[in-house]
Amino acid sequence: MEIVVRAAVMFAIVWFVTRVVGKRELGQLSAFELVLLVAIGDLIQQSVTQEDYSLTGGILVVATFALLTVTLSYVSWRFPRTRSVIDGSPTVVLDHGRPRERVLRYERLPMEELLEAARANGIRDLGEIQLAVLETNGSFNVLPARRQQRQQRRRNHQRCCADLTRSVAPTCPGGGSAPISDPCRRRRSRRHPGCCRRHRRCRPPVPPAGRGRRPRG
Amino acid sequence: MPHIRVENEAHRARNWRRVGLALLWLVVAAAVTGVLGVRMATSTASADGWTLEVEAPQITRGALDAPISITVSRESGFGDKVTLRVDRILFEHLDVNLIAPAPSAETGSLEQVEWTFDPPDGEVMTVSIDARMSPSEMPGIDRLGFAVIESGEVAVELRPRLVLLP
Repeated sequence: MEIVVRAAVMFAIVWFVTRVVGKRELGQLSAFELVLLVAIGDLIQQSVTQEDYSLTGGILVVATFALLTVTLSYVSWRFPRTRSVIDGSPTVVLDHGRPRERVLRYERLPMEELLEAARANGIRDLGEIQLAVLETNGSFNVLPARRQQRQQRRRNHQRCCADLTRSVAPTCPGGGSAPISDPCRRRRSRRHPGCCRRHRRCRPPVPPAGRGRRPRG
Repeated sequence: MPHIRVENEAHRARNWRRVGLALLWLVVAAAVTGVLGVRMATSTASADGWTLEVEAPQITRGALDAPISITVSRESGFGDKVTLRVDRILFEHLDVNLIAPAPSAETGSLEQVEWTFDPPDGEVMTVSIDARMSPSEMPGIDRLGFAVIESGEVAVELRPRLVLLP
C-alpha cells in the first residue's frame, strides 16, 4: 500500500516538474542537464522504494508508473481540453520568416537554436521558413515556404539517388550506377536505372576511393 | 516490406494490451488492499488465566520493518518472574534490533529461546521487538512460535503465520 502511494506521489511530482521546466529543457539537454536527470532518477528511486529491494516492491512501482502513464494518456485522449494541461501545447516560434521574439523569450529559446533547427532542415535563411513550431516534446518542426519545399524535395531526391548509387554495382547504361534495392525503386527511370524518375539524369560513376579531389575546370 | 497491422490485428493487439493493463490493475489493487504486504495481524490465545496476544507481520517482504508486540496478561497477577519462549526461527527470518523491556535472563536450546522478565506492576506486560526482515529472505510460508512458560510447562501458546513474498 505504502509503496504504491509513494510511487503515485513521485509520479505526480515528476510530471509537475517536467511541465514546469519547459519544453526547451526536455528537448535540448546539455551534458550537465543529462547528469542532473540521471541524478533525479536515482533520487526518485530512493524515495519511492526506500529500503524495499524486493521483487514485489519493484513490480508494484513499475505497475503504478505504467498505469498512471496510461491513465494520463487516456484522459488526454478522452478529454481534449485537458491535453494542453497534461501534455502542453505546440508553440509557433517563427511565422512567415519572422521570429516571434516574445515567444522566444517566454520559452527561454535563443535565436541560435532556431537557426540550428533551420539548418538541420537544410534551410539557410529564416526567411525561407513558413512556420517553425516548438513541439510539446521540445523538438522543432520547420515548415519551409512553398518554393523552399520544392527545392527541399528535389534535394532529398538527389540525396536519395546519390546514396543509392554509392553502394551498388555500376550497371547503368548511362555510365551511372544502378541500385539493387532502394526505397525509390518504383520511381526509377527505365532508361536510366541509376536515377529515380524525378531526377532523370544518370549520375556519373563514383570515382574509386583515394583518388583525391577532381580538379576544377 | 515490413508487416503492417490491418484493422482486426490492431483490434486484437488492443485487446491484449487491455489484458495486460487489467493484470497491472490487479497487482496494484492487491498491493493497495495489503494482500502483497506489509500486513500486520494480531492473534490471541488464552489458557489457565493467562492471555497471550501477539501482533506480528503476517505478510511481508525482505528488508522491511517487522515490529512485533507481545502482550501477556494474567488475571491474578504475575508471580516473581514471567518467562516467554520464542522459536529460533524468528531470528532466522528477522534481524532483531531491540527487545524492550530487556529480559533479565536468557536461556536457549537448539530450537527455542527463553526470555525471563521481571514482572511489571499490574496484570499486563508488553514486550516490544524492534525487528526488520532479513534482506535476502527467501519467499515462503512459516510459523513463528510464542509461548508463556509457567513452572517449566507451556501455559499458553501462539503460532502466527508469516508469509514471505519475494
